[in-house]
Amino acid sequence: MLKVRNVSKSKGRVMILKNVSFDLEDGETLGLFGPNGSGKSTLMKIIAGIETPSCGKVFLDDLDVTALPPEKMVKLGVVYAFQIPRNFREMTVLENLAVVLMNYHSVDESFKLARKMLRDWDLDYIAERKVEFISHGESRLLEILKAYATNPRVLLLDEPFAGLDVENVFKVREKIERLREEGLTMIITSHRRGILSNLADRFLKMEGGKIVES
Amino acid sequence: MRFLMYVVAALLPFLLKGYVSWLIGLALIYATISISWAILENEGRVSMGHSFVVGSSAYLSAITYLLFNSLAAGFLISIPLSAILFYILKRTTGKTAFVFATFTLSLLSYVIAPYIVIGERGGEEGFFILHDLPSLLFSSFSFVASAIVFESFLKSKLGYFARAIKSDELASRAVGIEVEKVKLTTSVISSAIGSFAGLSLALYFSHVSPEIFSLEVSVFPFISYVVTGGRKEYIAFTSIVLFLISSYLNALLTGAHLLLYAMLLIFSPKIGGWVYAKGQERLKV
Repeated sequence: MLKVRNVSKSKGRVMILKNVSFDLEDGETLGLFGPNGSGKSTLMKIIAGIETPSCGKVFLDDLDVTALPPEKMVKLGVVYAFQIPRNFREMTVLENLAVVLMNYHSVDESFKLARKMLRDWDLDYIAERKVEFISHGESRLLEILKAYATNPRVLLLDEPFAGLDVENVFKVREKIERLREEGLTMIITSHRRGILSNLADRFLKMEGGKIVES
Repeated sequence: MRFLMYVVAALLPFLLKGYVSWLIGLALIYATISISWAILENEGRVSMGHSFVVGSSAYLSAITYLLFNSLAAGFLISIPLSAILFYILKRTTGKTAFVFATFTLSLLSYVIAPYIVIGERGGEEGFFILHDLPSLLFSSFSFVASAIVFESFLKSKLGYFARAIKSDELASRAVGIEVEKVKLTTSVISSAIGSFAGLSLALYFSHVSPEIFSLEVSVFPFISYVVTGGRKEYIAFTSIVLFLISSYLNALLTGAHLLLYAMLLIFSPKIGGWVYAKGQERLKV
């Protein structure tokens, strides 16, 4: 389904990614782990079109999608949830989700659907709060839910457990497990392999911008 | 409630008489300019060159009136100006926000306008538009129409997308919002309302002069916005009040309103901070 071929990325003189290649099958969950600075986030951003590779290609169903802008990638079904949640600060939780759904539905319909989704994810109690008044764990769940609201084929979750306490790790994990049961194709990154156990079908270890273990 | 306030404001000049009626009619035009400005602000673009939008519409209307006896032609030409400008700047710079470029353009228009001469008309004196159109009615109508467009815009998909872009452009793109398309569309809407305001001004004074490109016209909506403390939905009413106070001060002492503008800008963080704190209290659940 998704093929990454010989992707490299340099910023100035620093090589962040070196010749990275891997395949992702339909319905598969790939765990990408490695220490901070190993290039996991950069790789995810390149796949999502947020960053462009210095060389190499990304294919989705054999279609070359390298360097397509993120909004086009979302239309193709590849969506990225940021490592540090980037929710819309001026909006409420409900509006944050509804605005994503407005890409596909009318305003009224989007609000109805957003309420339903928040209820399903046990977040309806914060629906009317502005995002600056919600906890980091809630913010993380909202970030994932927003990505999920685009009805993706491939969901890229960048460090979804970063900065969360045990209780919130459990909550986020539970939601990701649900997405996995739905058959969603995912790549999940973490700097610890242990936290991804039972979540991923397969693991890749990154170090110094390269895949060192698969 | 706000809609009722718009209607009351639009009716005020007809309920009053003489100079006050005339002044409120003019305040409505300035409120229309502010509405046009607020549509861009809703998306995070702070326009410092709005006098270009207003002035070019007024000037083009006056020129087409002089040449072809048609006000509408100039007005209609000016509507897509912002969009064309946005497209050219986007293509040349690769960016989608041009605060300094539009500010410079506005400044250039102010400098160039006195040199626009057609036949023996124009120059520093500007152009006269001798008409018998009901200009007060036109300014009231433009105000209400703009207010309706503005309120609908805020509740529309486009309005929500614009707010998302203002919050975080990259995050907006990452959830599929087509940022450039949204910015282009808001530019057209803002330009159309600004053009309405420009034509209203030209009709109201039966005259356009280079002063219409002055920085005061560009800065006025920004100061009105500062006074609202960021609640753009009230910008039209704030503009009316601010315009009336400015006119009163200016009548007392020429240029005194500029002192008021300066003070508002100096104290704006305090005003904004106060409103923000109140808002936070209200939003805490």
